[in-house]
Amino acid sequence: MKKILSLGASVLLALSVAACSDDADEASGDEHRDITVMIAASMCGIAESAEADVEEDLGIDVTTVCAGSSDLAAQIEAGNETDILITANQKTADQIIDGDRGTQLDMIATNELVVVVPAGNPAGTTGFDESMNAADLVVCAPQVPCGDVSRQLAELNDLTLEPVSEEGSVTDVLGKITSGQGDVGLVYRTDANAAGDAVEVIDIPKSEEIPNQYPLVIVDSEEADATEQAWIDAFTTGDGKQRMEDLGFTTP
Amino acid sequence: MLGVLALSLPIVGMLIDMPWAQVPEILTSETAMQALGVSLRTVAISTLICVLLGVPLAVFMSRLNGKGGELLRIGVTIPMVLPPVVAGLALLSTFGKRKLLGEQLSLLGIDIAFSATAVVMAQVFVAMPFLVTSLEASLRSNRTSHAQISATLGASPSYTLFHVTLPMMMPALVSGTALAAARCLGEFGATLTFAGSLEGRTRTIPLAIYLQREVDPDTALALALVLLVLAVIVVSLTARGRVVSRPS
Repeated sequence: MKKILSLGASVLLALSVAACSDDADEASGDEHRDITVMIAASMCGIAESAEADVEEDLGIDVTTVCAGSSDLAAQIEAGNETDILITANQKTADQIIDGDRGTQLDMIATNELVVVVPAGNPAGTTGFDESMNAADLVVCAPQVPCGDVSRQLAELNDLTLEPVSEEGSVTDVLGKITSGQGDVGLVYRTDANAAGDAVEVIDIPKSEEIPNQYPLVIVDSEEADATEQAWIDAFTTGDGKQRMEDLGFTTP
Repeated sequence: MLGVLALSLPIVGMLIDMPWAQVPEILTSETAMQALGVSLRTVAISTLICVLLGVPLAVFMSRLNGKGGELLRIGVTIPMVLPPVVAGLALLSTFGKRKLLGEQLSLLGIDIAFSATAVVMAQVFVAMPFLVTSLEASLRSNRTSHAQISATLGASPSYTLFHVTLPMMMPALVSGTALAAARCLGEFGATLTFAGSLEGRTRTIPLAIYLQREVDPDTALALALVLLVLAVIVVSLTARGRVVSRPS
């Protein structure tokens, strides 16, 4: 019994020594620390996967805060501490950069608008055309990014949108379509994919000309430190990149 | 004392943040006027419906005793304690365009989806319990002895109702109605989920505040001031109701 115990103890000791030296190698010069990431709601799911990966690899705590981009910007402007910010549009990121609260590193992904109809297409929508106005069309309000893109795409395709409702977020639009309350809606491809069989997706002509961009901002700093870089790598390369593409994001 | 701070500080903070100089201009803007119009119209109708349906319900409930009364009371209170989005989902599941009743109504030519009717339905659903419960509580505590005396003196049940019970419940009715109206005015989640949001048709003040906050926090704050002022009026009305209803 004693022998087994001492064997166990030495194995444990050996393991922990190995773990320590491993850490020392990786941290070389830069200690890893706990970080906070604020991320646009549409990327919340993948951010949580990346969080789990990084926490396991580095043995740190990552806090992921998910909300609408403007809510996140408002929180940072109100003084909330965070390390990395990913917004769903350039305008919100610029708000933080212009306020000298951060530095933009990369554009990590783009998304594009599509037409969604409830399964079975009850109103017989034929595409991004006049048939949408004949049905109960639900779009984002011009005040929010998806509404801004909707309006620009309509102009580009010589169409005037006549919605019955202008919602405050893309998820609200999607909810109206999946519940069957609305006949046709304009949402991002990733949201449409997430709805699965509840909706049918129709592509919008020229949608790639007005993509929705996801810039990454390092808050209150000019460059990423080792921990921030580790999180960025986990999020934007390898499995992380794959997760984004699986959801329908286009990655550079 | 800390309690007072916890409750009042955020309001004070909002008042300090308020763009006072621009308030008149913002409140007369198209956005504000449209939202105000939609809110006032729907709230007026909703409050009326709350009274018309709620008063008989409260009178009925106050006379029920035992298990039945208990169950009814729980049922009536539920919309009041549900998260507003859940209330919206419940309405959507029942009256949605492709749901049970919604589809039937649509065949009859009544389209609720994305209409002011949907806003009113959302407001009534979440606000009526406030009127019913406050009125019922007051009826229960005041009514019995007076009504019994009236009955033993030979008054008919309807005479008792109109000459004894109803006058006695006026203060509670006023405060209950004010509460329900305030709840209608502030209704957000159920409206957004069930009725959508379109300027001039379904976009009430709370929905406009939520949207304006994205681009123009000042307008959002000025609109919030409208709700704050109305809240103060309602609270003072209910306070008066309580004073008057104190048994002499």
